[in-house]
Amino acid sequence: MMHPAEIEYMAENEIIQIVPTFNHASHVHLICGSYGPFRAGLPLNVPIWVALNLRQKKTCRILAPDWMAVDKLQERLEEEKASKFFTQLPTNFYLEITQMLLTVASEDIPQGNDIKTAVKDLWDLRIAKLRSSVDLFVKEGRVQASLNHLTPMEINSVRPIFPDTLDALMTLHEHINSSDDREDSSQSSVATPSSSTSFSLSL
Amino acid sequence: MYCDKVIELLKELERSREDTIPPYNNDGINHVLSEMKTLDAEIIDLLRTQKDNLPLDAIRLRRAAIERNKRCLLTYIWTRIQRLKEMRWEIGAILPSDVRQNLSQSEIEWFNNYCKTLVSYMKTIGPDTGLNLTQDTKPPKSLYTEVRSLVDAGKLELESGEVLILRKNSQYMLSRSQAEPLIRQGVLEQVRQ
Amino acid sequence: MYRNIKPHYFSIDAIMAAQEKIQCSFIKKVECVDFLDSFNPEKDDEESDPKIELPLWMIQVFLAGKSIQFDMPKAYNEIYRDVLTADANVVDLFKLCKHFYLFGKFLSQLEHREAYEVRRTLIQTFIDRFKQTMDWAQNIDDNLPCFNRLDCLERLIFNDARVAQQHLNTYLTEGSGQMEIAAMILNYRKRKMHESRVLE
Repeated sequence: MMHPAEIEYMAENEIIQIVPTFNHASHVHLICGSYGPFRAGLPLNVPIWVALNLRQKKTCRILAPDWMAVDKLQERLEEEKASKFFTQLPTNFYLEITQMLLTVASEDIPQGNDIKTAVKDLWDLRIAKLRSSVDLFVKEGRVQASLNHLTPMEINSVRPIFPDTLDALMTLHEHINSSDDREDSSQSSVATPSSSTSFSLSL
Repeated sequence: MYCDKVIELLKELERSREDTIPPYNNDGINHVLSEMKTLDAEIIDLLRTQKDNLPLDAIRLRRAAIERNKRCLLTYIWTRIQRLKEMRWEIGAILPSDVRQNLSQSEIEWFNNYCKTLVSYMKTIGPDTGLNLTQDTKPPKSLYTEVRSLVDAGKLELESGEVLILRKNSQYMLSRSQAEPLIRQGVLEQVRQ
Repeated sequence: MYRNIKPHYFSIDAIMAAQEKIQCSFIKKVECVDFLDSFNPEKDDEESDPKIELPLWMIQVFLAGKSIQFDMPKAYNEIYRDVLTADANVVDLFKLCKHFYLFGKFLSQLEHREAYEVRRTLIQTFIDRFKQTMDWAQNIDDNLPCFNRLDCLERLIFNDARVAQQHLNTYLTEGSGQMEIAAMILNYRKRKMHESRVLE
């Protein structure tokens, strides 16, 4: 299981546009790539973590990504409602990016509160969908499921329950060793069809 | 009945919270060990005296009881060690005194060895000074952090060599790596941004 | 911390499940076990054989020697199987049997005419209750009464799900980057405070 902070860390590598208020003629060379040059007033692409750092020092303005607008998010929401499956989102980290940008740069992003609400609605809708498909998966005793377009944070929300539940089910299906002879255990785990249960997530 | 005593030992563990370690029950363990010895002696006695008509059920039952006693004793020790290991990662090498006094001599030895092994492993990671794996278990957001001292903690030598006197309710700017262990131990608290 | 929901050699739950008592009677005389002396079968009348309650691990020993027969414990008999099939979600499983699934699983592996039915009921009960367990864990506020109705296997799943949900909720309300006091130390202090209050 991952901590939400770890997934946010992954999200910090996504690229975003900023408008710097300073000049820096040469490129900055980072492990994740080279960025620059920085010219006051001219937008450029940087990883989110760079953007946040500069914004906290008040040396740039952050431009909200295209999808981070109330009407765009409403469209997504309607699309998600209409679709039986998970729809593909413009980013794998919509929840985390919204959270980070609105915390550090709320002044740069118009309609921040409405955006927050719309993102939360989208999240709630998708999580409800995910949970009912997990339930269906368990109920019908399926062995494989394809859940395209799920984001890491969404997967993480069922990650702690799912393997445990399948393990528990497998325990109930197969022969297990209750006696105190440890030597027995190798012979006693007779495989049943259900013990080959596999679950694949194609992302 | 056989094994009742050892089940009592495990119940003791079950009743305690998972983040504590109850007193090591030396008497209980000795009691179980002597039950095992008695069972063993009884089996040998049955084999010798009833050679012509072996009471198989009686022998099987005693053997099963010995095995079960053994499994339960090992589980008792194993569970305690798991908790102890977790404490090393959660709060560091210095255990609270009431945890320490609940440990057996061998457990204290085990803990010291575990700490040593962990430290020498962490020294080998990376090219020079090693890597402290217990630090930054979540991705750090900044190199420095503002903290408030919750107690009069006394002197703290900074990485720069400067000495800081930590006074209750005063705020300081510390490097994250220096602040984190003290925050985890409850000496400092991070000032919320 | 080592976590494995499947029963293993060092699993206290599995040990305790094998300690659950089962009512049984002997069909063969067992010699040289003192505490069983008064429970040996009377030759002529099978019905009047004295019954005794023994832990599951002992039953296993005597079954191997074909010396014993046992009744399915209450929680797994036909009546309760029907109740669980009708609506597993309303049953207080913990009250019925603390180690409902594990003990049931061990039972279903013994030689008994109802073993197959028991096994089937266990699987169906777990599947039927799964959504409820998952939903309870998601709604963090005051779910102790719900938690109390779960068997020990369900509790493990519930606890994991709840910890993850708490992490997520904290992340959504407070963001990340916050360093916290170790939970162990915090609980330790709470206990100390409680103790000193009791002493006063």
